Amino acid sequence: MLMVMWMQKSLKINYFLKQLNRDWENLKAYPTRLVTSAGWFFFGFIPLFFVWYFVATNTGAFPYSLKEILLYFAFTWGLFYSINYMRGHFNSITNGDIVTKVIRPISLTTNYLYIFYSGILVPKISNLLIVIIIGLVFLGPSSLLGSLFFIIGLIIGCLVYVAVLFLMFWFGRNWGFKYVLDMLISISAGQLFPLDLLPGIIQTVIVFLPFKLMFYYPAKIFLGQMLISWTLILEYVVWVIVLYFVCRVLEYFGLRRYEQLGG
Amino acid sequence: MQNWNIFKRALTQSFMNAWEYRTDFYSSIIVQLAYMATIFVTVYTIFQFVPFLNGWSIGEILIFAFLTDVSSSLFFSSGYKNLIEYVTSGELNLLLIKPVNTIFLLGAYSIGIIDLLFSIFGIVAVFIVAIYYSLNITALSAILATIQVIISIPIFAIPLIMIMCLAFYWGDVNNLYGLYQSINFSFKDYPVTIMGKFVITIFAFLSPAVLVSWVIPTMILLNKLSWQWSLFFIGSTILLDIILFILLKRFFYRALRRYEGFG
Repeated sequence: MLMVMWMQKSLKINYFLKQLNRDWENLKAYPTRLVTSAGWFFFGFIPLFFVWYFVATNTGAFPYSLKEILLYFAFTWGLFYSINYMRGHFNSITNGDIVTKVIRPISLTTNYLYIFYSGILVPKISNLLIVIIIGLVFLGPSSLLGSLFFIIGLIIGCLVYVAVLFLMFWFGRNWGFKYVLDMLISISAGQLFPLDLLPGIIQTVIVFLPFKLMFYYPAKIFLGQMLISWTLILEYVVWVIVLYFVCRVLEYFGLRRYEQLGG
Repeated sequence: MQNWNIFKRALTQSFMNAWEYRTDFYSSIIVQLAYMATIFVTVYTIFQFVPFLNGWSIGEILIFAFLTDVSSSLFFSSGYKNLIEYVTSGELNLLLIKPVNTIFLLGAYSIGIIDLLFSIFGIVAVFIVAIYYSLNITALSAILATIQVIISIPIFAIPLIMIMCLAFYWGDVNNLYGLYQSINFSFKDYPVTIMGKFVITIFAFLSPAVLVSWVIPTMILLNKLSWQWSLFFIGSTILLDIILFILLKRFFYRALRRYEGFG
């Protein structure tokens, strides 16, 4: 009860619920977005299917079975998201729009976390359902757990994007910087392929970063290759706290140098 | 001559803009290099496990990916990509009152020098890969492939422009445009020919570009087609271009009658 009251007071959950409701109404007004989202999923999955089908059936050294690798890509490709989804917000610092967020009785970090989280999750609902159904048919209950951890990992993904957004206090309208980071995150999160397939030296670096919690771990749980443990849950909690703290520090120093003028 | 002068002026203007915002200009170069590095890491990861992907070696797949990038960058450097926005916002009015062919002016208007630069990057990457992997490329195949790349751009671009023209009837057709684009882009990194005859037939029908604009130029460049077949494809592409141009012209001016000039 105390926990709920604390969350209500400090995190202003009602803001998040309002944001969810707004995005849901938006989705209902433009339902074709769901078709586009499913279309990208379907057409994008076809080449992946053939490429990885060929790889999995033509080598003995491949660490995944055909079924596993195809379901891995069904999961990551179906639920794929990137900074690009939120590109409209990334100019809000340079064009001055951010001032409308600063005056709200909620921190910028929490505000953007809610906007990003809801903005990504709601349009992904159709794909999430497809992924869960595919998982239940081919894998069983582990698909539900994997999807749950994807939803938790989305908090980490959104906090990473909020941190990148706040870096725009220093980098201005430099979209190049943002896209380079986006590509690095895509690779490090396991969106493009399972991280254990990457060359050893890249794996060594990636293991210390939080991005693997966004896609790679949920996909492994989805496949039933990773068990839920307290260590894993603790890893998620610690990274959420660390990233939230980093965002708040960036917010503090970013606002201190902000001129509130742009166009 | 008038069109050529307009094209030169649009190009100069675009260059001046890019030079004025130099940070963006440099960062976009870094982005493109990072994007190419991502392609390399992806392809390298796949070829750790197999020496060939249904008859395509690592060097050939890289050539394919970079060459398709040249074609798509050339299209995206044109102003056509903004047609939906021009129609829905009423900005098209400005182009309609000018005493020049509107279809031409649409292409030249807001031409993007950075995308043109990306296509040059693609060409350089093709050369580097060809030398590094000692691929079978001759002067004749390079000339024929260059011709095929250039003349096949309309096969990729005109269906997209025609979909954008639907904005005259239905308003915002970004979802439909995105869906069709997803077909083209899904087959941009891996040749459709590795996916079996059924998929080739379906997707060559849905979007001939996946075969004519993506695969054929690479096959010509890599001498996977004899020069007789290469000339046959070049001739067929020119014929298809003419048909598509006539269809576009008729459709555009018919759709223009529905334009309200207000948004």
